[in-house]
Amino acid sequence: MLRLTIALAALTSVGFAQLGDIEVGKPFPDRVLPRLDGTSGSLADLRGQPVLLHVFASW
Amino acid sequence: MDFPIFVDALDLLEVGAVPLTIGIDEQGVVRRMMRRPAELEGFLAESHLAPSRAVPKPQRLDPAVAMRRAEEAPSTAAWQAAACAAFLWGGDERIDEACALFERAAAESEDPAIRFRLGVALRRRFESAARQPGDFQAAVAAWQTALDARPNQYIWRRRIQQYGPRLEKPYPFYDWVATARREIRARGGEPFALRVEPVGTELAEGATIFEVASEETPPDPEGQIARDIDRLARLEATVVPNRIAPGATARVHLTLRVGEGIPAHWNNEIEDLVVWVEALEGGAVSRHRLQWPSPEAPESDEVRELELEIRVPTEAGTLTLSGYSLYAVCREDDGTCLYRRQDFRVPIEVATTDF
Repeated sequence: MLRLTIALAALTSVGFAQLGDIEVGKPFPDRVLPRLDGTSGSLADLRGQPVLLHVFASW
Repeated sequence: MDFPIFVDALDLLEVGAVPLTIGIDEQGVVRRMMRRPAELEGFLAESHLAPSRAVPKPQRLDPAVAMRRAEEAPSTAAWQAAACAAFLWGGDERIDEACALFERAAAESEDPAIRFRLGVALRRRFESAARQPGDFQAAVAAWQTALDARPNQYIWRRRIQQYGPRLEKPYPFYDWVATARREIRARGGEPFALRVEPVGTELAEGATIFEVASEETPPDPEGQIARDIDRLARLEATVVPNRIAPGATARVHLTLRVGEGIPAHWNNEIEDLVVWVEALEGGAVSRHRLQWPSPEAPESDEVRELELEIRVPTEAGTLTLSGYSLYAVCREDDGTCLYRRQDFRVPIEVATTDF
């Protein structure tokens, strides 16, 4: 059974003109980041299941 | 189903747009960049079980380790890595270090992203007990420098607008917070506690016209109230943006803190705190008199934040916004209560910008 995890990344700060290092077919440029609940982690913690990363700014 | 929320205040992920949804497979490989909800089904229908090359897991970098590496093999990247580690994992105890390291990296590189991150660190220090005079204004200047170098950087522009004049604000940035809290509690959840509550211009409605202050009477026109020479309270003024186009508007943030030097607290049993702003030569102010209603408690030590907007002259140059604050404070060492005045002068640069 497919288990899907949704992760949210908030307060990112890159504009529409940039694509950064994220490309289809390449590893996601993962980072260890603080979580809103005070812990920390990265998307690598979710390995083994498909992940939807929704990136938004908080305004 | 889990919904972990990561916070990337320093823009380390360098994603390409917001809002953006990225489909990542079981191995950590990007499979879809989705800009519309309808694209989600395509991702879900795909199978990515074919093995792909292993993607290494990122490691959390300890601030002390990062600092040691930077000292042993100095480079812009090493200083920036140490700065990020101090910012992300060092808490307020290392925010001074984070600011210094970002400044060092910025001195060695023209990379505007470093200046943006420096601004983020300075703004966080402004909100911490380690704040230094001018931190907020320096943060705005760092963001402005970053934006000047990369004017299409949408979110850097929005960061300045967040604290900037209402004429540039499309809508209040954080007006949804109270609604979200109410709705989360209504369904039995408990909202995350915010480290800093949204205030002032973060909640201010956008505006389409500049409102000029009406005639008012200054509270101490002859300057008879004794000055707060002991600095029982400290007044800091910040102008956003820090460089204003001729004829444009800017927002002035006035922040007053009590007891940062000599232990003291606000005395709420007499008059409210008042700030008087003088007329701006060749320009206009939205308000001359600002007031902070005293809390019900007889004494308190909260940060008092007031705001106004200014419209600068249509010619480039440097001018000064001046005014004063009147407030009641009590010393905690001997219990003396005083009514004091503190003057302020804010330099304002009017210059053509890329805005």
